[in-house]
Formats: sequence, C-alpha cells, structure tokens
Amino acid sequence: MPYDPVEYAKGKEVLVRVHHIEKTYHRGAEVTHALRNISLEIYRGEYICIMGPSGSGKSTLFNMIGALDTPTAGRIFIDEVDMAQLKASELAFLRCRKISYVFQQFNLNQVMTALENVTLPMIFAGKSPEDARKKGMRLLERVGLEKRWNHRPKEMSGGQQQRVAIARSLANDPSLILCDEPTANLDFKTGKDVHNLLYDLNKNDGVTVVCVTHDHNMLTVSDRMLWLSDGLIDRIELSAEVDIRRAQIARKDGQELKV
Amino acid sequence: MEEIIIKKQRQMTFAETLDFCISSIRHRFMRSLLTLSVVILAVAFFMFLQCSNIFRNSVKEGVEKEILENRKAARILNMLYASITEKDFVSMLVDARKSPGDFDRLAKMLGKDQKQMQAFVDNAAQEMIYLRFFEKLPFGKRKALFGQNKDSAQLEMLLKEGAFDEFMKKTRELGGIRIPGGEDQLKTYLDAYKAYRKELKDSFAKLQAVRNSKAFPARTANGKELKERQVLAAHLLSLNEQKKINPEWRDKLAALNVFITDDETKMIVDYLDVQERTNKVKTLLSDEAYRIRWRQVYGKNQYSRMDEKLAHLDTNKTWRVFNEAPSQQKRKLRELQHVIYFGGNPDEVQNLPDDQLKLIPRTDLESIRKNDDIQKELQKLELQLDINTLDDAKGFTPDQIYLMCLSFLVCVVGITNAMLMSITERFREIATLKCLGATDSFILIQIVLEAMIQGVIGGIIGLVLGFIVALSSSVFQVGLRVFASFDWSMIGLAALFSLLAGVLLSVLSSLYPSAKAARMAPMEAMRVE
Ligand SMILES: Nc1ncnc2c1ncn2[C@@H]1O[C@H](COP(=O)(O)OP(=O)(O)OP(=O)(O)O)[C@@H](O)[C@H]1O
Ligand SMILES: [Mg+2]
Repeated sequence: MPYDPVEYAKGKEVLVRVHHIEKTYHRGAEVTHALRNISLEIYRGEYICIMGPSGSGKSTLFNMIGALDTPTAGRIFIDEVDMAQLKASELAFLRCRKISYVFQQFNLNQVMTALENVTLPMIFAGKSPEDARKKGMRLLERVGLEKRWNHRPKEMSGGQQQRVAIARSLANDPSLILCDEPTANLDFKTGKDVHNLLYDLNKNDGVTVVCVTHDHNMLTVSDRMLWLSDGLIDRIELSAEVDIRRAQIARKDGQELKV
Repeated sequence: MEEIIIKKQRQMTFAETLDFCISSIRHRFMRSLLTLSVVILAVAFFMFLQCSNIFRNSVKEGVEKEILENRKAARILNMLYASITEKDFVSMLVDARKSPGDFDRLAKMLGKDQKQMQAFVDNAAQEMIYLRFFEKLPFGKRKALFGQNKDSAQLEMLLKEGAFDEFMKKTRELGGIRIPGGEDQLKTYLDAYKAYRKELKDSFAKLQAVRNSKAFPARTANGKELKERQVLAAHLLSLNEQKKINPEWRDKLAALNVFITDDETKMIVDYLDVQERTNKVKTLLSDEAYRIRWRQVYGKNQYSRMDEKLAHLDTNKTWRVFNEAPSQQKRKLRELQHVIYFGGNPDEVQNLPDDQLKLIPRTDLESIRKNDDIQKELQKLELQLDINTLDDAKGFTPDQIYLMCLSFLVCVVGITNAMLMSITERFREIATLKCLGATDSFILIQIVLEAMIQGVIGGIIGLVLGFIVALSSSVFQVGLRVFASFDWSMIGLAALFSLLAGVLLSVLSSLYPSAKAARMAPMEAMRVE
C-alpha cells in the first residue's frame, strides 16, 4: 500500500504546517541552499522521521520547525499560529511548555544534577520547587534513572545523559517533541532504549514526535518517513511499507532481521 | 486533543533569579575564580594606592602637629630660661602676634592689657620691618646712611636733632631707596620710638627677672644645672601622668606672672624628653672616647674617613631610618652602619637593648635642626637632616596619578576581557536555557546579577587585601605611627570608591555580551564556539 497524502491526512489534525520555506546561508560569496521550498504537514499524534544524507538540510528543517531559527522565506505555523508573528516572550512560552527538544549532544547543564536538569523547565514554567521535584523524580523513574538523580552529566554515560535529556523534554507535558539524531552518539543497545522510550511516549501519551535520524532501526517505531536530499523533499513513505520491503530484502539475503 | 494556546512566558521572580545565580556561581566556582581574581586584583590595587596615600598624609599631619607642639614648648622654655638678646626678644614679640596663647602669656607677664600689648607688639613688628630693610641695603649705601651703627642704634640715631632731615636728604641723593610705608610713616613712627624703646627695655628686664629667678634651671656650660633641668623634667613627667602641672612649680611661675596650662606642661615635658635624647647624641658626636673606639673598630686608616662615612648617610637614608618601626630601625641602622648614634660598632648594635635603639624618634629631627650646637656639628660633617622630605607626600604625585590611570586601564581591559570570555564560553548553555523556556530578560538579568555578585565579592576581598598591603607597606615605611592617626572616614571613602569601581566595571562589561547572548536565536548562539 503506497503512501497517499490525501488518504493519510483523513481524520487527522494538522499540528505543524511548513509552508514553502527556504533557508540560505551566505558565507562570503558562497551561498548554501540548505532548504529549498519545502512544504510539509505534521499531524497531531504522529511519529515522523526525517532522513537523508549528511548535509541534506535535516537539522536546518528541525530548527525551523522548533522555532530555534528563522527561515529565509516561507512560514511555519504551529496550531495555525504563524511563528514569525510571535514575540520573544511568546516564543519562550512555546519552547517552555509546548515544544521540547532532544539534541545529539544532549545539551544538559553540566553543573546541575540530573534532577535539577529535569526540573529546570518546570521552574521556568512557574511550578513550585516541591512539585517540580516530585514530578522530576517521576520522570527520572520513567526513564529508569531514579537512582542517579543526584549525578551530574559528567558522571553518567551517554545513554544515561540522553535519557535525562528526554526526561527533561517531558517536564512540561509538551505536545511536540523534536529530536535531532538522539541516538547518533549511542551504541545500538542504548539507542534502542531511547527509541522504545520515544515510541512509548508517542503511543501511550499521544505526544507528536519529529525525529531526525540516520538510524534505520528507528523506522520501525515511526509512522511516516520523510526523505530529504539536497534541501528538497525526496519522498515520503509509510514505515509499514518500508518494513515489508526490508523484510523481503532480508529474506532474500537469507538473513534474519533484527528489530 | 489539547489545543495549543500561546501566552506570554512568565517572568522569573527576583528571588528565583538570585537563587539561580548563586547556585550557578557555586557550581562553577573554579571558573568564576578567574574573573573573580581579576576583580580582586583590580580593586586591591585601587585600594592600595588610595590607602597608602591616606596613611602618608595622616602621618604627615601627625608629625607636623608634633613639630608645632615642640616649637610651642620651645618658645615657652625660651621665655623661661634661655639667655636671649634684646633682638631675640623683639622676634619673640613679633611671633606672639600669630599665637594667641603666647600673646596672652606675655601680656600677663609684662602686666599689660590686651590693647596695650597689641600696640606694643605692633611697634615691635614695625621696628623689625625697618631694621630688616636697613639690613638688606647694599653695604655702601648702608655705611653712608648709618656709619658704624647697627640694629636699633640705626633708628635711635635718627632721633637726634636734624638727623631725620639729613637722612632723607642722603636717601634721595643715593637714589633707589624706597622706605617701607613711605617717609611720613617713618617720621610718625620715630615720634613714638623713644617711648617704645623704654617700654621694650622695661619688658626685657621683666623677662630677665623670670630667667634670673631660675624658676626653670638655665642652661650653663658646666652641665650641673643641665642635670637639674633633667630632674625637673622627670618630676614634671611623673606628675604629668595625672595630667596636672606640678603645683610648686606653678606657684613659683605665677609669682612671676607666668601662667602655663596643663596641656602646655605636657608639651614641655615631651620636648624636654626629646631634648635630653638629642643631648645624648650631641655628647656622642663630640666624644673623644667614641672616636677612639671607631678607630679600634675600623682600623687606623679608616679613622680619617669617619666624616666621609657620616656624610654618606644622606638625608633620605637618615630620614628613612627614623621612619622605620623600632624593630626595623635596628636592621636599617646596621645596614647603613649608622653606628654613630649608638657609640658602638655594627655588631654591637645587634645586641643593644631596644630602648637604646629608640634613641631618636622622628620629631627629633626638628629639634636637632633647631639645636644650634648639633646643627653646627652636623654641618661640619656635611650631614643635613631635613624634615621637608615629607612634603612630597601631600596629594597624589604625578607618578601616582599616572600609575592610577594606567592601572585603571588595565583593570577595564582585564575585567572586560574576563567577562567577555566567561560569557562567550557559556553561549551554548545560554542557548539551551532558551530552548527550555528562559526569557531574554531572565538571561540578561541572571548574567548581569552574577557579574554584580562577583564584583561585590571580589571587591570586598580586594578591599581587604589592598588595605592590608597598604597598611603593612606604610608601617614598613613610616613605622607604627600609622596607627596613631587613622582617618577612618577617608579610608571608608576610598573603600566605597574602589568597591563601586569594581562592581561597576564588572556590570558594565558583562552588559554587552549578555545582551547579545540573550537576543540571539538559540541555534545561532549554539553555533558560536
Ligand atoms: N551556519 C551555517 N552556515 C553556513 N552553512 C550552513 C550552516 N548550517 C548549515 N549549513 C549548511 O547547510 C546545509 C544543511 O546542513 P544541515 O546541518 O541541515 O545538514 P544535516 O542534514 O543535518 O547533516 P548531518 O546529517 O550531517 O547532520 C549543509 O550544506 C551545511 O553546510
Ligand atoms: Mg544534522
């Protein structure tokens, strides 16, 4: 069953609308078109992977969707609100409660403990310190790090750090979680843990997940895949479809598929 | 499904922000230490410059006060026992015009009321003006006008019949002579001069009566009465502990119409104390036994070079020795071979008891200077003791101002650079905070507050450090006298200024990079390395 956009959109609500955006970087005389005229809709509650070769513009698109950077042209709507119209403090509000980010480099605050890192967005949101602590502990428990609450990032492995970062991203119950290569610095096993965590969030909590990745193992947990190449959308596929294809390839090669 | 409603992000309260700052500083303590030490150094340097200046000035004021007191005591004692000439007496009267205490005392002693005394003193001053003027005339002119006559005889000569007209005629003939106040004034003055001279003679006789009564033992050559004077001084000294004048002595003086207050007694006692020690020096300087010892210590050939050695102790070095703390004097004297003041060789100095080392306090320089005998003695040795070296200490010298400006510049550059660096290396962290929902103003306030806290902490440490260094260096330079005249208000002002400079510099230099960091889009900030 090939991907049919009209069919797929049926009964779904648009959360993020990317409208003809472009991003060009000027570096002296050299001009890089990181994104060229990209339009895209991300639906509420879906899990979408963005894939493509290195330098194809994945991170750039990620930044645009997350309102971390401004496009050269085009618009981004989140819940039909134009990001370009928002004031700085409204953007801060959005980043605090509605969107959260998971980065490849974790970006934890190095001087804070795991728990302090997780509670930070709640403090920004105005939650009382006790409530924040309680919820922070609950979240750490969820990612399996409740025993490590008092450790600083330097005292934890990459996988543990990334799990703290995911716990932090859940602090204010966001509607949208954006991940930029969350597993790139992790080994296969810990990477899978992270995927399972994200899958669980998506399916059980109904959080929309947008995930930039090179990791093919991730495909199985996502709903749709977006292939970028050279700043353009190459194709969009349904994961189920790819899964079948891969299974076929695997069977042809006589190998067992590890999922 | 929940709809996204976008509102304004709440502002963090000040308490929350402060909390965040403090934990941030605590966590990155080692990192903050760099910025902190720059602030500390800058503030300490300011404080040091200001404080050492304050110390020096207050010490100078203290020394000057002591000198003035010594001078006053010397004036009183001159009145009591010094064998002075009539000319000296006129100077004493003229000086009394500037010192109310002396003026009143002299008036009482001479049995005059204020008005009479004022007229008398004015006459004396006028006489002095004329006599000085005559003295300054070229030798030929003076000879032509007055012949062999000198001093007051010159004015008395003019009182003779027709002498004044003759004098004026000669003056005009000689040309180029302008009598102070003019011809008429001199004529008027001469009308009253005879009466004034008589008054002066009577008054001088009264003063001599005081001296002759030996209310205070006079100085004599044989040294016997010198001893008595020391005994009296010791007596006064012991009584003075109760801040009371010896009643016996007071009555004796009162009978001669001389009145001396308790304060003045104390000044006299201090002065005598100083004098006594000065005399010791004098005795030492002229002591043949000492010269022999010198020869023993330095060998025969060195004997003739003793004067040279003394001359070698130039003003500054000598001054410095007296400015040392007592414990340091010993070392310094040894260094300078300043043994003459002890009558021993350098090795002996080491074993001398401390009280002998305190032989000459600073103010003695003044008394030595005023003591003609010692002065002559020292002049023979080409050794000059000059208290005026301290005069340079007033205000900031150009050197200090230059140093201050330079240090200020270094501080500005240093603090700005340290702040810029510490904030730039935190760009990634700031970007992350923004991703988590920190508002621009929170970022700005947090960083500036952090700089301010660093400024205050560094400033306070710097203050204390600068103060201690300035104090110890001043103690090293001018001795424990520093503690005697502490000007806390000035030091407070200096502290305030240094602290403000430190805090202001930190805050100002953190303002630009933090504003830049706060306004950047998170991804832009994250890219800055
Ligand atoms: N700040 C920048 N200045 C100039 N060019 C940039 C900048 N950021 C990205 N680019 C360029 O934009 C293009 C897209 O970059 P982007 O980081 O989105 O790639 P990516 O798909 O995330 O690659 P990777 O998989 O390696 O992370 C690249 O050619 C890159 O060189
Ligand atoms: Mg990337």
